[in-house]
Amino acid sequence: MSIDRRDWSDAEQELFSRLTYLDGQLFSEYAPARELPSFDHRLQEWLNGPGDEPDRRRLFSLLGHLYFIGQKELDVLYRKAFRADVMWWLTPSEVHIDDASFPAALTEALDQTWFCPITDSMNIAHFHHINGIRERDLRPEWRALAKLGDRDRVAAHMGAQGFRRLVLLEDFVGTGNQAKSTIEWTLDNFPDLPLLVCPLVICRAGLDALRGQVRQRPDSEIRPGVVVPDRCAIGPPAQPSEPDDFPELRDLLMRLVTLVDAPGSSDEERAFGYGSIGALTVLFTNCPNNAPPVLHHSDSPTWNSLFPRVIRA
Amino acid sequence: MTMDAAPINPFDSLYVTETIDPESFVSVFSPFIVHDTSSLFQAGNVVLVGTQGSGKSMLLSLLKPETRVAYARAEQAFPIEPEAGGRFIGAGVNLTRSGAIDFGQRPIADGPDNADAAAAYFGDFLNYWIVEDLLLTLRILLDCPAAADGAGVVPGAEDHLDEFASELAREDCWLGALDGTSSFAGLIDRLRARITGYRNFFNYNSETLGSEISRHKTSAGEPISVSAGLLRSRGLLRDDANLFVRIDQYEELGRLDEWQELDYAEGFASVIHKMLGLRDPRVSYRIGTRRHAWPESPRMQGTTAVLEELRNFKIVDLDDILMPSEHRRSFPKFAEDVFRRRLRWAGYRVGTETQGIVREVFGPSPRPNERADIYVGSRRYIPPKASEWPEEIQTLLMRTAEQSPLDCVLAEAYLRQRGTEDIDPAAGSQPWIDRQWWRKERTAQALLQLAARQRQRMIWCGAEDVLALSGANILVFVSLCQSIWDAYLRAEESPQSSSALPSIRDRYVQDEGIYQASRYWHRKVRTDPDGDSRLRFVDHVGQLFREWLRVDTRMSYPGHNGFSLDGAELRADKQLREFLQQAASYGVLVDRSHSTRNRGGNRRHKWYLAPIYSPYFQIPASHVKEPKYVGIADLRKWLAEAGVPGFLPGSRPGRRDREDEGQESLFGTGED
Amino acid sequence: MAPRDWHVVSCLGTEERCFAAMTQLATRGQLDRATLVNIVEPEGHPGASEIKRLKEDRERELTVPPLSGLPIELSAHALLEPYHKIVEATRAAAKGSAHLWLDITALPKRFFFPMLKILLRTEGLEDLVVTYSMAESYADGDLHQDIQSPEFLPLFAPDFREQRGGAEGLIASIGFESSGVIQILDQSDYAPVTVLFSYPAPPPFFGRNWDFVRYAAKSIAVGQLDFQGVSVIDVPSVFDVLATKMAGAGKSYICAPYGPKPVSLAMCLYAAGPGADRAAVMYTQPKYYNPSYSSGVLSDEAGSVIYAYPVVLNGVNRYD
Repeated sequence: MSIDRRDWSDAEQELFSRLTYLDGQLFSEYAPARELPSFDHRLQEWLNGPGDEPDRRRLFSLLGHLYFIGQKELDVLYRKAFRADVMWWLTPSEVHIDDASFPAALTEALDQTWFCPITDSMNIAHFHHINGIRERDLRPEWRALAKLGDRDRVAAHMGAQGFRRLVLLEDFVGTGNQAKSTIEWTLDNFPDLPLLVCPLVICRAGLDALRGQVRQRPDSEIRPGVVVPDRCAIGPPAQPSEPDDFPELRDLLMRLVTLVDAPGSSDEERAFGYGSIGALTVLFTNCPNNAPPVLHHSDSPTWNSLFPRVIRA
Repeated sequence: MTMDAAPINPFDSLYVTETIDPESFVSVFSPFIVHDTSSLFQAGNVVLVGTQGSGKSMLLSLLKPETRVAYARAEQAFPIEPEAGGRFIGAGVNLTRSGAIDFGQRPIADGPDNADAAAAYFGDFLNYWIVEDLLLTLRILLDCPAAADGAGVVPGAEDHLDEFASELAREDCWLGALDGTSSFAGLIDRLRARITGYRNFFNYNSETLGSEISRHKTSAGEPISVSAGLLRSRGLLRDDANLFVRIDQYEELGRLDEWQELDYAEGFASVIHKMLGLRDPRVSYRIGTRRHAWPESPRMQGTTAVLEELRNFKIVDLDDILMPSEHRRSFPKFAEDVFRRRLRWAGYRVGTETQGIVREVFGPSPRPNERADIYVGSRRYIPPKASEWPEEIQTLLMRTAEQSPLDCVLAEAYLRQRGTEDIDPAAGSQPWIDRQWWRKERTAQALLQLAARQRQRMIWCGAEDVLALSGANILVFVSLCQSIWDAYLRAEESPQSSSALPSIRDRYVQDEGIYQASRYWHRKVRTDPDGDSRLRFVDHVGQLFREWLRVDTRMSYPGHNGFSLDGAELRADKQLREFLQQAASYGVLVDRSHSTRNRGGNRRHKWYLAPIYSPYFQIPASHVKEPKYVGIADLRKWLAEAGVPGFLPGSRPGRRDREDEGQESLFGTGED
Repeated sequence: MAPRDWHVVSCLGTEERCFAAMTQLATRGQLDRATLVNIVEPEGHPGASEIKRLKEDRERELTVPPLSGLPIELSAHALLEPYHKIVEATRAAAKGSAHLWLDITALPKRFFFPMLKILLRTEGLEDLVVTYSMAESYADGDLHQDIQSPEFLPLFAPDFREQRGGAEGLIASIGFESSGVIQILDQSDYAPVTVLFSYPAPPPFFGRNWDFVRYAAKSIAVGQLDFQGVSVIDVPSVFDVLATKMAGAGKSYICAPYGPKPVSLAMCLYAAGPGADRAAVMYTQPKYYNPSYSSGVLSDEAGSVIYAYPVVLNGVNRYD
C-alpha cells in the first residue's frame, strides 16, 4: 500500500483496519468487481484521485459512513419480506392465530399470491427458493410489463393461475421514480388487485414517494425491509442529527465533480448521485446510482471508482 | 508447515491451546516459564496468582492430562522432566464452569442455618467433582501409554481399575453413598449422578436436593485424599508421583459477596482453605486466582484457625516472577523463545539459538539521538523562548540545536533548572552531556518534549521497544508481534514467500503495528469486569502523566509518569485500596512498593500504567527517579473528576445528594 | 388471536416503552391483571436520581386510563439478588394463571431468562405470549457500564457437562454492546465460534459489529470463526438457526446473548427446552444501566410497533 498513513489519526487508522478486515470478510462479495483488482488495490487507486492530502483524507473518511449490504444480510431481508411482511399482509384480520382453520386459510391465500419483481435486479428466483415458495411458471418484471406488456394478456394469465393479489419486490429503491411508474401502471390497470410493495432496501425519499401512491388504495400497502438511515445519506439539505463531518464531505463531493466527471442533470446530481440522495449504501450485487458517483463512476479517465457500478444502458 | 501458500501471520491467534490444536500447542508452548516456577510441580499447596498473559493459564494447562497426551502423541518430551517434578496426575474444578458458585443462590436449609449448610454441601460438591475428574484423568492417560508412563501411572494399571473403584467406593469417607459400586465406569456414573442431583436442584429441575445427597455429605478434601492414597497403596500410581488438584477462578467467590445479599462467600472460601489446611502429603492443591483476591488471613471451615503462608501454602506470583529486576531477566528469554517457536511453526527457517531473534527480525530500537532526528525531520529545531536567554547562551543553544536537538532540549532544561552561572560557553562546558546520570534520567522526558514541540507522535520500534512495551506480559508481547506483522504483510507489495527469516526493519511499519496494539489494549480495558470505571481512571491518569512530563521544562520530575501513595494511608482507605488493587490484578496498573525517600517514612506504593498504554498516551514506558508523591485526597479527586461511580461527590454517606453531577458524561456520547 | 383475559408479567423500568404492550391490552379490555417487577439498582449508581424521576413518571402512567383501576401488583427486587427470589416471585405470580403475557422490553436478561423458563412450567398454562416493544430512538451513548465477569444466567447453567474431549462451541449474538464476549472468549477455548449478526444492521451497527468482530477474532483460534445472519425480529427463524446448529452436533454449546432482545429470546427458548444437553447461556451482567438508553415507542400509522411471539397456544409449546 503506498498510501502514506504516518500522520493519520487514531480514528483514521482504526477505520483503515476496519476496511482491511472487511476486504476479506465482506467486500470480496461485491459481484461487479469479481474480475477486477482487489478492494485493497482499488482503495489505493481511489484515494489517489483527489489532488491534495487533506481531500484524500476527507474522501477516506466518507467510508466511515458506508453501509455495505452483503449476501447474508440481503438473504435475511428476503426472508423477512416473506415471513414478516407478506404473512402479515395475508393474515385476514378476522381470523385468529389459534383458529384451527388458520393454516389452511393462509396456504390458500399464498397460492393466490403472485410474487414478482419490479425490475430484474431483484433476484426473484432466489426469493422463492429461500422462502420455500412454490415456483410459478412466469414471474415477469413489472417494469417491463408496464412498458411492453399487454394488459389483457396479463389479466388472463392471472385469472388462469388463480392469482388474486400481487406482491411486488425490489432489492433497492432510491427516489422511487422507477418504481412509481410501474406501480402507477399496475394500479391503473388492475384497480381491484390488492397490492403489496416490498422494497428490501429503500431511501427515505423513495419511501415517502411510494407510500403516498400505494396507500391510495385501502387494500394495498408498502412494507420496506430497511430504510437507509439519514446518517448514510449525504445528499443535501443538511439534516439536524447528521454526522458532524457531513458538511465538509458535501463540499468535497461538490469539489470533485469535475474530476469524477459523472453524468447528471445538475451539479448536485453529479456530486450526490441520482436524485441527489447521496446514499452511502452499496449492495453486494451492485452499487446503486443514488450513491455518490465518487464511489461508483468508472467511466472517467480521471477517476478510479471504489465500487464500480454495472450500468443499465 | 511449508511456505507455499500465502504468508500467514505467525502470531495470528493470541491463544494456541491444547484443546483445539494440540499439535500446534506443543510447538508453540515455551518451557521457559517453567524454569522459574518449579514449586508448581513439587508437593505442597500453591496459590497461583497472575494476570491474564502472565502465563498462568499456560502453566495450569500443563497440569491437565490432555496436555501430557498432546506431548506424547507429538513425540516431544514433556516440558518437565520426570525427576524434576514431571511425574504427576491432575484433577480440577473451575468454580464458575462447574456451577459451584451457584451454591447460596437457592437455599438448602431454612433461615440462618443456610450459610453453614450451603458451605457443607459446597464442600461435598467439590469432592465429588474433583474425584470424578480424577477418574477421568486416569482414563485419558491410560489411553496413551506413553503419557501414562510419564505421569507416573504404573504400567498395567488399566487392569486394576474396577478393583480400585470398588475399594474406593467402600471407603468410609463416602458415608455409604457409593455402596454397591463394583466397576470403574459404574463409579464414575455414581459420582456424576450426585453432581447432576446438585445441578438439577440449582437449575430448579427438582424441588429438593434429595435424601441421598443430604444424608451422605462428605467432608471437604477427605475423599480426595483417600482416593490419592488408594491409588498409591494399590499400586496404580508411583509413590513419587504427585496429585495436583486445581481449583480455578477462586476470585469469583469474592465477587459473590461484593454484589449479592449473600454472606456465603467467606464460608465457601473457608471450605477451600480447609482443604489446603489438611496438609495431606498425598494431595497438593493449586488455587488459581487473581492478585489480591487471596485473603490475608484465610480462615478454615468450622474453626477460627487461619492458614499460614509457607506452612500450609505458598504464593507464586507470576507477575512478580516475570517482572525484571536486578536478579532476573526471565521475560526477555521467555519472549524470545515464544517468538522463535511461533516463527518456526509458521514455516520459517529458524536457528536453535534463542538469543537475539527478536532483534534479528525487528532490528534494534533507535538510540535517543536517532529518535530526536526523526522528530525534528527536515525542519530545524528552534529552542522556544530563546530570546529570554542572554545572547551568548542563545548562540550556544542554537549551535547545540544544529548538532543535536536532543542535547539542546536537555541543555534548556539544565539551564532552567540550574541557572546559567556555571556555564562558560567559551570553555565549552556542557554539563547536560557530562553529567551522565542527570542526562540519563531525563532523556526520555526530553524526547517527549521534543516530539511535542515538533508536533510529532512519539516513535516506537525495534526489539527493545517491543520488549519494554510488553511489560513482562507474554500476551501483550504476542499481540505486539501480531500487529506489527499485520502491518508488515500489508505494506509489502508482494510478501516474500521464502522461508528465510524476514527482516521487518521499516520503522513506520513497526510504529503503525505498535500503535494499533496499544489502541487494542486500551480498548480492552473496558471489556473486563468493572472495566468502564477503570478506563475512566486510566484515561484521566494517562493524560495527567503526559501533562506533567510535558510542561516540566526544567525536567525536575522526570519520574512523574507514576504516582506514589503512603502505605499506611492506603491501608486505611479500603475503597480506594481495593480499586487500585483491582486495577493491578487486571494488569492495567503496575504496583510496586518502595521505601520512601523521606527519612524514617513509611513504605510507599508506587503505581504506573502498564507500559502497553504508553504509545496511546504518548508517555515514556521507562521509569526513572521518583514517581509523583500524592495523597489519598489527590487520588479521590482524580477518581471524582474521572467520573468513577462510588467516588463521585455525594457518593460518600453523610454528604448532600449530588449524585447526578457528572452523570451526563458517564453515559454520554459513545464512540462512532 | 381470540380475545383472552391476560395476566401480564412485566417490568417497571425507566424507559417510555416499558408499558406499551400492557397499555395496548388494557385498551382492548383484555388485561386481567398485571405483575410488575421493580428492579432496584445497586448502590452507587451514578444515575440514581434520574432513575428515581423516570420511574415516578412510569408509575404515574399506572394511575391514568387505560391502566388506572386495574389490579397491578409491584414486586421489588435487587438487580443482583440471589436468583431463588426471582424464581419464587415468578411462581407466586403465575400460580393459577392460564393466560400469561410476558413483556421483556425492560427486563434484564438475568430476570427474563429464568422467568420465562419458570412460566413455561406453570401448571394449567394454556397460553403464553412474549412481547417486545421497540423504541423510537436510541441514545448514542453507552447502554450500560461496568460489566461483571461471565456467569451462567440463572437456571441456564449446564445440568452437568463433561468438559473433555474437545472444546465447546460458542454461539454469540452481537449488537450494540458486545464487549462481554471478549471475556468469555478469553476464559476458555471454543471451537467453533459462531457470531450471529442481527440484520438489518445499518450504521452505526454496521461499523460497531464489524469492529467488534475484528477485535474478538484475536481471541479466537484460527479457522474457528464463522458468521451467520439472523433477523432482528424473527424469533422462530432464529430458533431454527440455533437448533440446526446445535442439535445433534455431538458437542456441547454455550450461547451468549448480546444481540437484540428477540434474538436473546430465541436463545432462551432453545436453551430452556427439555434435555440435559441443551445449550447453556453465559452472560456478563452489567452493574449500571443507562436510564435514558432509549426514548419513545416506535410507531407507525397503525400505532405502536410491538412484536408479539406466541410461545404456548392452547396448551401446546410451539418451541418444543
